[in-house]
Amino acid sequence: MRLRPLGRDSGWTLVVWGTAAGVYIAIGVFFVDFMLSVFVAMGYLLIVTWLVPATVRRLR
Amino acid sequence: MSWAAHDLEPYAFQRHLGIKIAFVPLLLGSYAPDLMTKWFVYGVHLFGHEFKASDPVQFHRGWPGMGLTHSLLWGVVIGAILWKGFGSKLWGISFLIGDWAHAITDTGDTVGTMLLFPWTHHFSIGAWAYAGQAGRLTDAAAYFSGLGGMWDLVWILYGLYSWRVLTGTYFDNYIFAADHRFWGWLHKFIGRDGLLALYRAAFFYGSCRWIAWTIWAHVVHHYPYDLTWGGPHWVDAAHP
Repeated sequence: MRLRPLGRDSGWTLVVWGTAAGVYIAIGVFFVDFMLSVFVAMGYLLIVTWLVPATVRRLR
Repeated sequence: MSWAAHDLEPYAFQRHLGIKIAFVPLLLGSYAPDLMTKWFVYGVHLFGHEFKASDPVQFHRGWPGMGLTHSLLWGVVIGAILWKGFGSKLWGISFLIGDWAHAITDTGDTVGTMLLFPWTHHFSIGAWAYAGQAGRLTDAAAYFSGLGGMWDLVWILYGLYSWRVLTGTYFDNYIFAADHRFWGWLHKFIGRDGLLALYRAAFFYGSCRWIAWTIWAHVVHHYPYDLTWGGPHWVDAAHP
């Protein structure tokens, strides 16, 4: 089986989500209360993977 | 007590059941047994007072207590309310599957669950120590040092193996299609990218939390690993 190279959109999605995960983990290690609730994670994801990219796109 | 398994198991069920279940009630069911009780097990400080169960283990898993929330009957009752009360068979059955998965998974610790409540016998495999009574941080340190943390890792790896359930295409064809009323309503407010963020959130939360707590326990604080049955034995494990 040969892996297909990622498309531009998929690659960008991976970068956004990978960065979001790295930042979440870094905050969580030092401020464990940040990891208390899945609702906080949902809010964080909505801001980082939807609201911020949408705002950047709109400003371009 | 499981930390990340309840976030991750719904994605494994999703992989196998596809359009036959609805993801939101499946996830709600997976969270339901602990939804109203966990904060009182660990305790919270509000307005200068501590609110905490005097006997956290009895409150969380016992009877008298809220242990009935970890029984098969609890899933049937709430599932029936969703089915007959709110008219959604799909939501009722999906909730039931998630709720039962939670109750069965928690038989893995040393306290176990009253699966067949009103029979108050605790079913327990005893693979990892229940340490909720020791407070949240000690519980986390113990959990991520024993087989409980490894059990969570199994679900993370299975989720990564099933990565297609996390894609936008899968979301469109299965998640949205199975429950278009709910997701369609939400779509009006946050668009498709927002829906995807919410759909993936529990997997993101479970996986990232597993990594962060593991780093916290073993890099920042150097708690020792003890992957023996019923461990870690450096913490006082609770029993029913």
